[in-house]
Amino acid sequence: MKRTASPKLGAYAGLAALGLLASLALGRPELAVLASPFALLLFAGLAATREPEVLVWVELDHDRVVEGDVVTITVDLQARTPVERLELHIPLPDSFELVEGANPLTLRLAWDEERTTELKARCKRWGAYLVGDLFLRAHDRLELFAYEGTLDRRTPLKVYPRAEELRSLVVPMETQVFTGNQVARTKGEGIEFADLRHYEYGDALRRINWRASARRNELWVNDLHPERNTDVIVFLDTFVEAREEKESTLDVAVRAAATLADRHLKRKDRVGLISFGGYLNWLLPGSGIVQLYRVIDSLLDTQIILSYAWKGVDVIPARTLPPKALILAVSPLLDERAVTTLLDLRARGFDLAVLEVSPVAFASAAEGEREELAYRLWQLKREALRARYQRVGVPVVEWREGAPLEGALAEVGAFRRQARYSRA
Amino acid sequence: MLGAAGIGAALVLTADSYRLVVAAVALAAVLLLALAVARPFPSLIPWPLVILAGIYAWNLGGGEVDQWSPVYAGAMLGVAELAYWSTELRGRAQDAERLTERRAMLIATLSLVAVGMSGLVLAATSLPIGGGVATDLLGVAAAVAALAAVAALARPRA
Repeated sequence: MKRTASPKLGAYAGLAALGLLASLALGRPELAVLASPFALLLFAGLAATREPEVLVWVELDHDRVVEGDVVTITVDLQARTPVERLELHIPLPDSFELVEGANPLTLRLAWDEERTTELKARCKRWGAYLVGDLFLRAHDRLELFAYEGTLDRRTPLKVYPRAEELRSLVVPMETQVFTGNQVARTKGEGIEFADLRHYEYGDALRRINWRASARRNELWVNDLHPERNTDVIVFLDTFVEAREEKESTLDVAVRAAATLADRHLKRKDRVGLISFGGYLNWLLPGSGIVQLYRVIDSLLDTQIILSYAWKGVDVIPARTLPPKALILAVSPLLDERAVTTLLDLRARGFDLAVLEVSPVAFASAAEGEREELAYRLWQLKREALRARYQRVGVPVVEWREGAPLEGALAEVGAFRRQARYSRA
Repeated sequence: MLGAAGIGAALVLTADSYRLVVAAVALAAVLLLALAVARPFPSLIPWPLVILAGIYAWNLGGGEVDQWSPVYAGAMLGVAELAYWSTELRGRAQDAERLTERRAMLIATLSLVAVGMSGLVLAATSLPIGGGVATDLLGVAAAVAALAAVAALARPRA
């Protein structure tokens, strides 16, 4: 620990010296008497001071929590020497809210005393954190010196995004060949009834529809829809974000992306991730709980990296975009590069739906005539952008924090039904 | 603040002449201390004490040895300790161990011990050890040695 002198030390030394020298110069013992307490306190303090020895351990009760959960940070202290005043500070990330305990905390420790203190903090934002850096400052009894030090007792803590309520998902245009929970549009072996057709040699007897056969005096069989899985690519736009105080469009977008990945993986779909921004991050489609952890760990690393380099669909590895995949883009639609890339993906025939994490909620209210005009123009421009997507058959649904995600996804289904009807 | 004002008032009351000037200078010292504590400027805290000690020395003149000097010494130490404590209180971590009460007790004890120790010092000054240039030089050397010892003890350690 680094020792630093308090301002009192120099002041008392100066006062003592001045008093003693003035006493000598003026020949008045009273001035030496005035100086003597300062000098004696100084000597006593300097002679008695010793570097404090404190052992510290930091422990977290969980290493993985969900947004909004409370994590308990336990600090165990063991003093080898007495410490009159020990100030202990654990810097918590900005997104943590202290709900119980004091930070910084002042303690007094006796010889060989062991002490345990607890801090409880609410994790308000997803992310991967290292918690447990400790700042210690010990004071001697006469407060002449302070011993300061930093102890690295960091422990990783992953805060997973809070899942949104979601019961139904976007129905893909096409399914893959593996078994899943999605009723395919094609016909084959399955449960869901699709159609009736004439019996053909080789058809299983159990597929004969006896009622239809009796009515027509010939054998008819049921055609069925098979249950297949889907390849879902969650496309997260990380070029820019709209931020207000501690909340941003990226925070909301990651929550939505994690929810979508979780629900699709539970439906036995294969889920991949493309984090498209200042740097490109991707995960090949996979299924199962391991893939869910991969996706979420990857989402926790997501951040906005400022970049002026133009990036298009050509930088995305081909294997991350399997044929017939459903691409669910989560974007604030603020950056031209992401906007163009999504249109390019649609042009290449991918089934695309855009969940627009609205930046409007993060824009402060317009004040003044010009600002109001600019605000209206900006909103009109956004409307035009949505219309541009809808013209090429891409549903764009706006979603704001606090509104049900399910409602937004239902809009995707409604758009698709409407679009199909219009084409018919 | 009250302690400094009390010392100032005592100095004004015991002044033989120029009471108004003494009162003005003492008031200036108290205001300076108030500024040092309010801002806070810890480096400014010794100067009001120097001013008050200067008034005290001026009051002494060439008269008899003042028997109240140990009380002044204890009071000045108390004022200095309280002033530094008040500057430390800003932004300080939350107390959990009755540290405030302990510190207040410590300052009160230090002031009382200072009165006693200063009394002993005052008694020691009445011992007949002679005088002259040699004694003065010895005194200067002792003062310098004391400061050197303080500086050596106080130097930063890794």
